[in-house]
Amino acid sequence: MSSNMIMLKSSDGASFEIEEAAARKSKIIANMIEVECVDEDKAIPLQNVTGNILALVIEYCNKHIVDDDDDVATEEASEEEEEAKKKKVDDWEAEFMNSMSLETMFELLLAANYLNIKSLIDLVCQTIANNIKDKTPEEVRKIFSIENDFTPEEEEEIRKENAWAFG
Amino acid sequence: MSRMDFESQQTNMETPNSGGWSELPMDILRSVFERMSFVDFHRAKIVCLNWYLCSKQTLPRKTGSPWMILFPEDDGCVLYNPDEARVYRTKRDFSGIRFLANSRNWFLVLDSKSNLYIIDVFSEKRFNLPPLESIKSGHFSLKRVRDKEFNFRLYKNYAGYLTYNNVVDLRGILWVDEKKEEYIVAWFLDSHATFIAFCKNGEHHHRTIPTFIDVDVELQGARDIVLWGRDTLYVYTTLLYIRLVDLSGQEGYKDVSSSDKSPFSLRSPPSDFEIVEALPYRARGRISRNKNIAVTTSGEVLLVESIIYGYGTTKHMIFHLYKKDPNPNPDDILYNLNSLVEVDSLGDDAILLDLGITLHADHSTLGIEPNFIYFTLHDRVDCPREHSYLNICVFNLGTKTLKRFPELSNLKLKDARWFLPY
Repeated sequence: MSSNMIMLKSSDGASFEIEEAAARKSKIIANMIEVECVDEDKAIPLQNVTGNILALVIEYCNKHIVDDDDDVATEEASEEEEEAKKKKVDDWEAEFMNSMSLETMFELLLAANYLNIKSLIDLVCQTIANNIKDKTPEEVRKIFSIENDFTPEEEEEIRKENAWAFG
Repeated sequence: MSRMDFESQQTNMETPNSGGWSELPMDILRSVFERMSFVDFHRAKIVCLNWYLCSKQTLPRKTGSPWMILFPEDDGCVLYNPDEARVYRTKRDFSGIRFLANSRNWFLVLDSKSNLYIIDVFSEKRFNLPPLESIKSGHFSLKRVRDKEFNFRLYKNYAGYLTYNNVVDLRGILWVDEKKEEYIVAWFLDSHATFIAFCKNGEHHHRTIPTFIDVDVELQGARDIVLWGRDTLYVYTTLLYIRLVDLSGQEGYKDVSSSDKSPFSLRSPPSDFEIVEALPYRARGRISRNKNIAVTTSGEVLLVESIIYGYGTTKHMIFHLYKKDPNPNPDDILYNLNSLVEVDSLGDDAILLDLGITLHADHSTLGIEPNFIYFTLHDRVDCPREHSYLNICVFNLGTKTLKRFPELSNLKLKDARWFLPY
């Protein structure tokens, strides 16, 4: 099956060619394709996504479209094969998230949100939750460069809500 | 929709925020908060104002093992999270406060002046309850003598009948619906008490359910009680029958016990000797057997028999579950004979025996082990205090094996309870 290719254009003018099936991972783009507002020879402008982030988004979508194809091909796959495949995807996702800085992760999250790619939003949110795991509020502020904008009284009040020294 | 429409829609779309991690769009931040463990959730809300506001709009993930509240002998209490194998201490002063019952994160407590109230163990929220002595009944009265002492008087046909009660004998159970801000409390003064009192949110006195007066002999007394939602009380009676009480009315209560008058127990329970024979290995030492009831999410009653056996400090424990035979022999019905069948598996449910209820459990998504019984103490209700001792464990009904928590052994505990922290 020859698949349609479409063009995406980042906010800084970089163009990317992507299989339509991969691009459909984005609900926004899928919606545009549905309503036929995609010219074959004209790139879709994505005003809120820079080229380096769009490259990551496309890498993610390509990876996951391949996996979806596999699903069809190996419908009869044994449980073990299924598990092995799931592990392969998990490993790839872990590696993918590991390879980027928190700053990139932040941009990627906003891009995934803008493009409405649910599984990518979930992946990044989970990675952030994992980064926060077992950290004190001070450590979290440091990791994410977040300023403590509470007054001392407010902070005391909120800590009181946590009567069990979780902080 | 034309391309122009899309473009105009696109420009109208909210521009993604670039204010850094503290100002993530709220729906994304919520999605992060929803993925945090209970403890991480409560830490993260202290990070900054926006995260705090987000935490107020998000419910902590309903996952993770049940927790325990532990009561060391030297007063106070600590929380234990089995997932982290970690003990949490508090700055709040719980000295002199007795924890009687719990419903998720809400606890029914009695303070040193015998005031009864409900607290959220994780916040300062509390609901005060009417004083113990404000019971509404044509049969009884309770009069405070000292902080912890009450005189109980029974009227009807028993002129002059008076007993002295100490609140150390007070037992209670609790059910709370946090979302609707509804609760119900039921309590009584020791297992030989002649009434169970209950009180719902918005009420200014305790209603009473006599456990002897005007009660059929089978339905007298209470060895175990379970609140099932806000309107139903299950009582396991002295003679091992199930008494069902409907509390939904505005006044009083309604006894809705089944007309099927058969006891809820084994017809010919095995003798201690037979039990020893059936154990994985021949255990000598004293055997202690106890019966509790647990009510499933669909309202079915289970009989939970716990058998403790073995020597000295290395006590073993095994549980058997029974339910009413769904297809009883017609003769049994005719002659009011009990017909219970053993339940081999709880399926996807787990029992929190401290609460007398089952929970839907799924280890991978919820963190509660299916087909497990979470156990601390068998005789919470019918309680010869000096003989009861803690036996904190989870019992796997499938493999018939016990899991204990050796890390708790250096805490000298007088009591403990399982609860769901969320």
